Amino acid sequence: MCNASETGLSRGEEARARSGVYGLLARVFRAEADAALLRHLQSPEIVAALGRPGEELAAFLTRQGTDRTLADLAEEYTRLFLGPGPHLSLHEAVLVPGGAGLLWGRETAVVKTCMGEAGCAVADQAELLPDHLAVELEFMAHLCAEEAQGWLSGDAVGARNAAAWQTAFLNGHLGTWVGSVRERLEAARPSPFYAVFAELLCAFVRQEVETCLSR
Amino acid sequence: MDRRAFLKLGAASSAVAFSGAILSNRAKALPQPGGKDFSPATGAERQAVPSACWQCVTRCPIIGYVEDGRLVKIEGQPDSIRTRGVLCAKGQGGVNQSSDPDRILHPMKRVGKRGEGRWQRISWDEALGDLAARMKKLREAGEPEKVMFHYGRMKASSSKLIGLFFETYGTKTIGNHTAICEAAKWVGQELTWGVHYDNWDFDHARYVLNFGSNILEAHTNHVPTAHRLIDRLASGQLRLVTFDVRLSNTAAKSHEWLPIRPGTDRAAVLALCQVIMAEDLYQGDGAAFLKFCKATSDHQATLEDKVAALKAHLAAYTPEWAEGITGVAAATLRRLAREVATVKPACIISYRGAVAHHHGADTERAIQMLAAITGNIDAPGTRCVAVAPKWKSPTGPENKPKARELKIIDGLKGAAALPNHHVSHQIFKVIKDGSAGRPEVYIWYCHQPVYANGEVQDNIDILKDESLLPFTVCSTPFYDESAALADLILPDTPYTERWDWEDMVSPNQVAEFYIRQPLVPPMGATRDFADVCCDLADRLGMPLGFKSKEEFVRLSCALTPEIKAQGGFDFLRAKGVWHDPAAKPRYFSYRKPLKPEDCQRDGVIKDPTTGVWWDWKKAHVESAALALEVGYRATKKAYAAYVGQEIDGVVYAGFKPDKVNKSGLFELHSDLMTDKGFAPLPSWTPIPEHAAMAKDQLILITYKVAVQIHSRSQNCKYLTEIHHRNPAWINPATAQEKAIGDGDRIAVTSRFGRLETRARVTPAVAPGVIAISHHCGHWEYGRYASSKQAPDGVEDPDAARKWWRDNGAHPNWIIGNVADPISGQLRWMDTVVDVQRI
Repeated sequence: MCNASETGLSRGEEARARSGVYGLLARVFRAEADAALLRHLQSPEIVAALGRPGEELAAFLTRQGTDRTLADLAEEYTRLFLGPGPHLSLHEAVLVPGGAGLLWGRETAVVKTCMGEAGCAVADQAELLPDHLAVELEFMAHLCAEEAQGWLSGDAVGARNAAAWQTAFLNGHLGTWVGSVRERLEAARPSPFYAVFAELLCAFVRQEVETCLSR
Repeated sequence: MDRRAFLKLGAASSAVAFSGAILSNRAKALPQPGGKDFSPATGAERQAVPSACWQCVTRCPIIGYVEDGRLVKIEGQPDSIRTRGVLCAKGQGGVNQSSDPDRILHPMKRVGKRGEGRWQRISWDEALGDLAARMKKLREAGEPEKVMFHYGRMKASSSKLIGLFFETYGTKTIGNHTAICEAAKWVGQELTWGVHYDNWDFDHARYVLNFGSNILEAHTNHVPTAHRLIDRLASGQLRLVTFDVRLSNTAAKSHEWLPIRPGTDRAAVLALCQVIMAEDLYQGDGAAFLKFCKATSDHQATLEDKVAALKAHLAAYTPEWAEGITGVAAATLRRLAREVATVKPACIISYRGAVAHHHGADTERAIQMLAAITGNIDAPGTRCVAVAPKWKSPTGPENKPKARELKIIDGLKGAAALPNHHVSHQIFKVIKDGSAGRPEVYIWYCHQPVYANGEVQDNIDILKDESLLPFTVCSTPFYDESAALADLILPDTPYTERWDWEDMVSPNQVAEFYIRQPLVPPMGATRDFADVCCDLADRLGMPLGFKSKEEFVRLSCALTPEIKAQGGFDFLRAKGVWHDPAAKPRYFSYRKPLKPEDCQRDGVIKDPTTGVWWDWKKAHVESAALALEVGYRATKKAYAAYVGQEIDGVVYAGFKPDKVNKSGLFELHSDLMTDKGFAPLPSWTPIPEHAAMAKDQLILITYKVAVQIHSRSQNCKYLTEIHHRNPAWINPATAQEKAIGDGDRIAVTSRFGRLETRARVTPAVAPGVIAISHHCGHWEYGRYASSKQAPDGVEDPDAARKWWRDNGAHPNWIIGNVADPISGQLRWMDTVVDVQRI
């Protein structure tokens, strides 16, 4: 997918790392934060990797006790993404510019079909629609993991195939609407936690799209 | 962040394996295919799922078309004998119910002050664990009645199952919403012919006389009857005459529209009756039907006695007298009386325009009298006793507790003499009063007590007050004005994701069985409230014998002989509807003589005062002697033990009573009304507020439109795009007196409050009136209903296509929760207002 020489990682390692970013973002937007996620975000490797945003995030997460922080984040997650009342419905069909503006809109069906063709479906217990931001991110994580597996096991055809799926999905879906997520999230005056991750989401997906285009 | 940093982040995160919780490789089973529809994009056949609508109470059979897992279209069910495949705009707009982005998809508990709008998602286990613990505590304290359940729309299997749950738990503190809907009509019918659902047999009618029904836009059996009426009108086989304050679309399609002053329909009806009796136009069918009527205090009165009594009673109600009250010319009333008495068969219909008034139940009685003296009752082409399917269903645990009740559902003291359907709009007032106790847990379902009742501010204040209602629970798919004041929100499924068996009445007098099944799976973590009840029952240690609504429906299909014989649940899942093709339409059921053995059964005796044969054992009377001594009318709930009515030595099925101990005669003369201090025969009584109003004041009336349900469809954007603002209709003459021009901003003030809206100056409403539709003026319920700009500035991504900003005005802010003293009906059309240009 991207050029290994630029990062110093092998293709397989890079795809695995990209899978990790998508997985982390999927977790953040999938549900309320829990103690495991907070611990992970406060680990030295993550703080170092994130740089200044990581320090801001760590400061925010440690300004009060973990229980209080989790309770505040849970309430904020509900306010921002679940409602009831005005909220940001994290679905492509709702947020993509020019889209259906509906749950289970046409875009949802296309995403579902796309995932099905790649051999995936949303698990019943997930209680999420196929075009939920977390599902799309996790789908990308899955495709990156497949690519990594391909490179690391010598299955170059499989790896390239997984990479091609990523390009198509980024250009056709995820890359088309994460900008809307960030814009609308900013307007909702989120805490540093969601503000940082909205920035990370947008920046990372933009990089991914650019990297794909440059190939 | 540069790419290296991202990849470091990813490398550090990949080991934690955050992903993998959402996706699986399992494909879901496809819904069962039914009829035919094709995707215009791909040409592929769509999955067709037979089901039932729930936008309004008519509950038409439908077919939902599903493409790629999306509900893309809803159409009528062509196999239905009720609708013959027709479906209204509201029903088709139901596709928006599932896909509304403002749906609540998870249980929520409030974390701020009540009504502050701060919420936290919780699991079902936590939500139901908390609720069950509270319910258990009250039950163990011997106070189950302090759990109050208040429903809005709840019918058929939902009503059975949920009712069974609360019965098994032990509370009868159960409120409904009928008093804001049609209680006056129902009580009027219960006092005359016993049942409260009538059917209008337009298929065979040649003349329809309409008092205040906007049947072509909204009705309890809307599409099944409306499309038949249109068929007959279009083919020139029927004449339609409409009395209405407003030129509704029904009035507009009528051959004749009589703009009548609000609340005076009864005067017009009495005048028609006066002409018919005075000119002996009752003779023939009317005279024959009078055999089955009670028109004097003597149930054995002769025809001559009855005619004399009616003539004497009606003598003063001449068309000339009525003209001064109604504004309808005496000559017109006289002509109409002759028409309705001579063009056979005639169907005389009524609804809220006529009955949502002071003594509205007596207006319905008067309309029944008009139908009776012209012989237009329960015959082809007339107003008929409704026919509906008889389902059998599981009855739950055998040993249920004796349920307890807080006496808070029948309104303030003296609110209604016959609150057969309760006085739901005054429940909050009674709770505030507190003298009859207060619920500690208040649960509402498919209801909008804040928005749907009058005196909205009062409703808000009381529901918000934790000292009056300590714990509030709402089951709803949407965040409406009432849900905003809940402590716990249980996310309900819309009807497109539910199971039910259904039982609405048929317009052609042949019963139709049908079911509702999910068109798409429940979205998110939503659950049908009936399924929630099954879960709660288990948590409370009182299992109901079934685990879900689906199982309840499946068992009901097995218990109902007609459906079992066709193949039961699987048959109805595939077909959606069924009726017996050999069944004959049911008319004249009152004329059926009973078999001698019916009256010879143990416990069955004759009540000499009324001529009613009844079963004193079934009425839980201690002995036959005591039953004879106390008598049928004075025995509590004796109507439930009714067997038949003796007339001239023959015992007939008669008009079986319900809710009140009337006889089996069609009661024009009601001793029950006398007992309550009202005139026994339908009589004129002016509306007190109207009699006392100043010359420059107006009467506020409300109405419904064709594309909205009262308060549950405004999130459907297809519908709300069509109707989202409701300027107040005002007659040009009235507007000129007040210097109001079309489009002017006006203030409408009653003793209950003030609202601002715009004027629509139109001759399509009677002078002296201001008409404001329901449906509009939401301040919650999502982006399409309220256009509510998010407090935090979040913008609707669909805003570019949502071209309207005006959401109209909600009239209920200024309408009182004032009851008809007979039935408890909210008097929607009686409010006196001052109107000024601003």
